[in-house]
Amino acid sequence: MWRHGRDQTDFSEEIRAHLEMETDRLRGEGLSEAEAYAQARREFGNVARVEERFYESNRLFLAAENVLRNLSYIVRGLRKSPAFTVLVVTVLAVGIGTNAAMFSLIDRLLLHPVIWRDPGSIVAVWGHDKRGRGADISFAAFQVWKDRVPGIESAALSKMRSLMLTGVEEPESLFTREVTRSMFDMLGVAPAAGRLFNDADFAPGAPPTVILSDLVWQRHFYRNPAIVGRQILLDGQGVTVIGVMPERFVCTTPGYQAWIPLERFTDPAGDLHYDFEALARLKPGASLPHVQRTFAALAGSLPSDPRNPDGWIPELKPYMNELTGNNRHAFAILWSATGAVLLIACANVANLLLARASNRGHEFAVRAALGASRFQLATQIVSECLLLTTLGAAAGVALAAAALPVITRFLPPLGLQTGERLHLTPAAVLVAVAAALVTGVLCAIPSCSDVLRSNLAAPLSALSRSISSSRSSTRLRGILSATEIALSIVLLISAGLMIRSLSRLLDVRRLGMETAQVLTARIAAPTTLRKAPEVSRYYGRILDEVHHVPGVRSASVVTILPFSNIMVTTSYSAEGTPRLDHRDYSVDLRSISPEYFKVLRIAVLRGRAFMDQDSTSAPRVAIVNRKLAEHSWPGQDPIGRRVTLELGTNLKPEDWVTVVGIVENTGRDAIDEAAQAELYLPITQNATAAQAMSLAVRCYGDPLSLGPAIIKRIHNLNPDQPVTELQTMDTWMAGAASRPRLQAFLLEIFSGLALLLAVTGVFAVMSYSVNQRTHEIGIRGALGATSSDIVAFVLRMGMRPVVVGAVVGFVTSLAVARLLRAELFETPPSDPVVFGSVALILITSALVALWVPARRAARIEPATTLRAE
Amino acid sequence: MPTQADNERIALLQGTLDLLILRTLVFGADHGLGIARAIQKQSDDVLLVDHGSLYPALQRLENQGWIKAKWGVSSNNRRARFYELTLSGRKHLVIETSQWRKLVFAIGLVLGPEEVEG
Repeated sequence: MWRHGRDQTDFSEEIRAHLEMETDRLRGEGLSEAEAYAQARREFGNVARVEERFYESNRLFLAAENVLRNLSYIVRGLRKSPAFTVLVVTVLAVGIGTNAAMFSLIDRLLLHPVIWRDPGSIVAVWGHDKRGRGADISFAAFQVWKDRVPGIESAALSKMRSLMLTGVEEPESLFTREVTRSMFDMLGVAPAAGRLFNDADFAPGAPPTVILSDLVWQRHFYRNPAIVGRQILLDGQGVTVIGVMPERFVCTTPGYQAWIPLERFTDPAGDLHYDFEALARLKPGASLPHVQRTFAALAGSLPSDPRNPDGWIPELKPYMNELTGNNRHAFAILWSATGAVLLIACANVANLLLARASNRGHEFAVRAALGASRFQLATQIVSECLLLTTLGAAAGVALAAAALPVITRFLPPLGLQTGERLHLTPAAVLVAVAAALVTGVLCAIPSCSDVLRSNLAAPLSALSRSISSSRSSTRLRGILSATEIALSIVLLISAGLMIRSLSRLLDVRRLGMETAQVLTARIAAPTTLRKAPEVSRYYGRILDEVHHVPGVRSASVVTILPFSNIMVTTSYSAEGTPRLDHRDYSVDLRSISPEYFKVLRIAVLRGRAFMDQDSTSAPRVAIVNRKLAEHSWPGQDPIGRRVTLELGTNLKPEDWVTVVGIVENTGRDAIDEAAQAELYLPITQNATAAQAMSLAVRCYGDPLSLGPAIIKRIHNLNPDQPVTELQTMDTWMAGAASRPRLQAFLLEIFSGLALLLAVTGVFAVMSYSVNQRTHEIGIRGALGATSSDIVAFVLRMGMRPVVVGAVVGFVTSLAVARLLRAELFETPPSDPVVFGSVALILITSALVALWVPARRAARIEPATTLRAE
Repeated sequence: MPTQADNERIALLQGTLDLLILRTLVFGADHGLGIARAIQKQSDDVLLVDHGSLYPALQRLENQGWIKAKWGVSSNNRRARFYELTLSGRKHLVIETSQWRKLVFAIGLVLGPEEVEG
């Protein structure tokens, strides 16, 4: 039979046949059997060498066998030292796992923030006037430019609208967007069920239709596909559900729950108002600056809003940047931190391997003496490292898969949708595998270079027993420890700065309010109440009911809660001051009931809070915050001054409101933003007061426990009144602070981990050195060194890499902290408190780690050591 | 047994053994020892095949696909591994032979007529 892969026996067989035939021939020439065989052998030469050459020629087979043999050898070795194996795998699992988890976050939030087709070419179309004031898009202008700008493939217009969903178990006010027909086609997203809008849905007099978000579908209709084609009640009107969008679909900003066809105004003048937001898709290959220029050139010929004579200049921004911009820097920092943890883990494992390799010097020496080449020993070390890192990666992936749901809890404001679960992405697993390979090789380098350079036979000679393995490997271990220390210092300082910044952010004085013991809920007046006075009277009655609940200290309603991620911003003019430019022009507007400042404990600095006397018929009043007062009337008393929210010059007396009080600034939704001008109006006098409000109640004791009693009381007044989203004010604030909180929290974990790893490294190196130097220490003892001399000697030796690492670490931190500056709130990057405490923590932990080996060194008996020679 | 004095033998140049093995196998399948003897005989005992190199060379040629092998029985009833030339081996032999001839001719030109005789 013809064979290709030949085995060794077959080859040996052939040579034996050769020898036999040769022996036969020689016997035929008259030699005896033994002589003939000997002669044949002699002529053939070295049989073993020929067999070896055959063996080595079968390279592939050889390699495979080598790997298997190596593996079984390594596995046996690792099983003999389970503590070492478990330690290394754990260290690597932490290092690789944190990176895999972090990459899943990055993959989802930065690389795939939306499920649009080619999201990179979607731009937001904004605008501003010649004075730099922001202006949205008008319908009339949109109709013109959508087809006339050469670089724009398609465009869509949308507008926010709030609709009350009733006829379901828990009625809810839905954030809805009116959209043009082109919206979904432009974004390139197909519905999860049903269909998208068609032209018929936009025809005048067409039956009303709606597309639901996955969240609404799930929350109110339990993902029942039969909802498509059925009618639901929106603002009391029957609307047909024609489709449901997939999970994770967003259109403009996240958080919208339903989409309806955009309604044209009955008043043609409304078409000219800058009331809409636009998205556009650029043609493939179109350059944004070029499109921007051609668009701007066209803008002059567009119909303009008669209310704003200052023109309109378009502004195009890549939408992905708008969605991910805030997170980018935060994640760059966090990923660098996990990278640093992996590096430290790497250095630590390398260090452990070095120590183990040195302890195994004897084993390597024996193997070398038995014919293993240095290359083979190095291959063994590399395979061992790769096996360990593979195990570590497997454990790390499992760890990441388990940790991700926990991390997800912190995420909603970072761009995940409510209720969305985060999974380990395939890309993250690839990252873990790549990390394992790189780590394996990196970890192996120090041990390999040690084996390749040092005298392998040295451990076999009894004389060399007292000489530590090799000077280069000792120095290498010192460098590795110092690197670990330096990296962990950088992480500790970054975490310290973040924590300090966070504590400044959450300072009560800065927030301007006390969020503890406040319960909040969403509440909306029945749609049957159309007039503003009726609505405000209704809320007055609800507040009366709530006041009767035992445990309630004060109660109020407000249009928009602080930290609820929504903001109504409007423009204002103060009487007697020149018109303001765009940047100082806007003000956060809230309509409130009288007790609002009492509920949130916002300090009234001057004047008064609203009272029941500020009724619908009373003179119009307003309360401003300190920022607005200082800005509009610097150095003057604002009480009695007048402000208007209206545009234009022909203002009627009732367009003006009189300032009756000044309150403290409060924190903004983006908690790290500086204070903004705020204006409060009484709900009784604000005709635009929304029907949907938030209830805020200050309680004695646990606020959530009062929830059922409050709801019951409200239902006494109106059994159909929906009361939703019951949660504490603390929760709202935690949500707003979740990005800095997450950053600080994760950095705390990473830096704690880093410190632990680094200190373990210091400990391991020193313990090992003491073991190696037993003889030397014994001689010092014999020569008269006291035990405190020896402790000092060991500490000095052990602190050397710590001090070197610390110096490098602190210098690096100064540079790294500068990169963090954007994330730091009122915290200088070289904050002495942070640097000081890190130094203290580090020195203490290093001394603790060194104490054990130092004590052991001090207890070495000189006599015993020397006798052992 | 070599019949010429050891100093008159020539060690094979690197790479020539392969060529000689292929050439020998043109006359039909043979086992390793047979090939070695054939080369020795054909060269009037000038070329001595080192058995230590022969078998690895056979293995190399087999791996290249130029020869194939199977176990058979030798003329004196011993079990032996017989090699035979494959088609690609034949082609390779033609190419190698013509290259070798060119090389010998060229070296002859450089060395001059007298030296060639020696």
